Amino acid sequence: MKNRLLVVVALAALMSLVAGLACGQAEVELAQTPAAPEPTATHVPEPTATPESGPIAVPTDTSEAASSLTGDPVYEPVTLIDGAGQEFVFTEPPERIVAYDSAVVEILFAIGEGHRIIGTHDFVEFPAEASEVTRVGSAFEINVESILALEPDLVFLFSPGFMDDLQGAGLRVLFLPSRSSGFEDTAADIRLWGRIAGNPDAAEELALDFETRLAAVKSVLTSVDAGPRVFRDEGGLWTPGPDTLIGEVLELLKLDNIASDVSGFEQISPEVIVERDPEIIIATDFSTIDTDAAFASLTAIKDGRVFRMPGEPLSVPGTRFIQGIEDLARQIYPELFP
Amino acid sequence: MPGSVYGVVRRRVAVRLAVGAAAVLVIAVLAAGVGAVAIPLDDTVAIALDRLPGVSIDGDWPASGETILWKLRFPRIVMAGLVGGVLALSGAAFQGLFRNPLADPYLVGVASGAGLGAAVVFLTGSSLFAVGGGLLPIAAFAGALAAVAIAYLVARRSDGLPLTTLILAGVAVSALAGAVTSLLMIRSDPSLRPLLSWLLGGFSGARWNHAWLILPYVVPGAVVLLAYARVLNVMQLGDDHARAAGVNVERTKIVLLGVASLLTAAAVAFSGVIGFVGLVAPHVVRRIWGADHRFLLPMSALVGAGFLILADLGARTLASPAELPVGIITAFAGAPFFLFLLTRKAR
Repeated sequence: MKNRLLVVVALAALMSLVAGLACGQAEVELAQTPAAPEPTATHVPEPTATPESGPIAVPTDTSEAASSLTGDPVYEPVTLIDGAGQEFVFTEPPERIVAYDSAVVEILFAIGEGHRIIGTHDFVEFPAEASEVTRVGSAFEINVESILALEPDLVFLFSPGFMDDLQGAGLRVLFLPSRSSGFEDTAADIRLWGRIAGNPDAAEELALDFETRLAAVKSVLTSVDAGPRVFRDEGGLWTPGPDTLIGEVLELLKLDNIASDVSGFEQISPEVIVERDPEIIIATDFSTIDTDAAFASLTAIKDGRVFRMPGEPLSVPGTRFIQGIEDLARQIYPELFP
Repeated sequence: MPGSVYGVVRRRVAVRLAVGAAAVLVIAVLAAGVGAVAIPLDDTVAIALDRLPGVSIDGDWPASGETILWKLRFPRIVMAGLVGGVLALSGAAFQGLFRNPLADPYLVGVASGAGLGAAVVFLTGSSLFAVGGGLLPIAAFAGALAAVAIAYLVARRSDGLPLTTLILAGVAVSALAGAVTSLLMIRSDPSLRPLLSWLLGGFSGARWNHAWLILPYVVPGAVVLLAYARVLNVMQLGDDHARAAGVNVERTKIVLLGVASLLTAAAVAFSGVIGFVGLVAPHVVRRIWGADHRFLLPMSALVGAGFLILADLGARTLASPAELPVGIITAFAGAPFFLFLLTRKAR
């Protein structure tokens, strides 16, 4: 009995942590050093090369671009406000980063600065080169001793949970909350990490690629007035509301999310699914909605429009996000995205 | 006439049980009228009656209403009632068997074993996972029975089964299974929401075929437990007195442990681990009507069934359109009531 309670308490704690990861709403304010010449991170996407029609722009090979940009002579100091409201200044690029965040690992590798990452958490699986990076804990626990042994000059965290421990151990810790909504700001994140790592040009190229491809998807979709009703099943009828990254993508794709009154991720009532009758279902591999007899009468099931799409990449606001958007757009509108 | 007083008592007990059963039925019918989607009462009645054999009603209700009621809400209420009844009945049997008021159906490891089985399937064979379908309930069922079997084999002695040792073994097995589950979860990707929902219990995935699948366990199991009511009464005097009264104490222990665990495992397999019902329902009955197991066992089952139907009603309507884990409701609603009951004088 007691043990069961302990397990339940532990699970509740776990769940609140998971919820915290998914729902951290704090906005990061990015301050600019007076001398810095570049535009601020609150950037209005105004792509320079918007394809008028046809195929979505081809991804740029950023690693090649990055290698041609080595030897940047001048490092512009970066000043920003961290997730705890403290000013944080970089006067030189961090050389030994423990990056506790999937998106940041993706971004740094993509701009050719992955060599700066010396540690990360267990769940980082992308890019392939990141598999060589030392693991120093899961997303729920952190091994302070093994981080200390790596002698990092920067520990980056996406949640404040381990901040005190790490700072107490004398480490330099930057905490910026993981992005749980506002996926378009991914371009700003890319630019920020480019400046921190001292490679703003490669970051600019990657950010522009993101913005250009996003604008391409948007421009194709201007011909769509109102898309079909959609239900996203993360498994067990858990579904994202409009205030999540994937909820925003559904909206971008002009899809009418039947869970428009859900906030964050919630387990939605099966009765509500039947009543709102989705025309499209986008399901993870955890979902069995298409084999459940109770849902056989849904339009999406009868029309055979159940698409499989894993939780990633649309839960990690990194370099794969735009690819995830394009893949989903092609699945749902094959005629518009040939 | 000998036995006339006894006859009166018996009749009173029968009347109480009949009233209890009627109350569960009324709760079920009322619960059927309420849901996350509002369906007019006349449609609800017509859709329900239309399904009765020999009855055909011409109605112009929307097809979605029929799907919601017949394929989602009705089986859900039936499952909540079955599981609530089973957990309360097993809880009452365990409390009687262990002569321990803290006993509940999960005492010997059923919950943690089921949780581990579910976690293993969920985290390794993700595509096989189903909300109340596929491999997950089988794994949970197997895990539950395996945990009890381990605790039993550890505690067993050549001259019998010491119950204190069994409880301790159950606690240890629970702790181990719980730790492995936590480890698996903490080592896996954080997309654990469906598993967490299962572990906290719920009837969102309840379907008719689940009820058909657990009935072959529930009906014979309940009959066996109810048949042991008189023996449980004698067992309250202690093993020696029970032996002197002609009870085969060791066989009784094994039968009750095995049957109650089997029932609980069947319930947990589909609904997940729902706390508090199995602990509280028997106490409520005991406090109000006394500890005679011939009444305690069936009445606990009825109280558990009604309580869990109501708790699930809360789970599916309070946060609509979202679902709440039913275990949170059972604790929120049950704990204060239980505390209130404890302040009253026990019968």
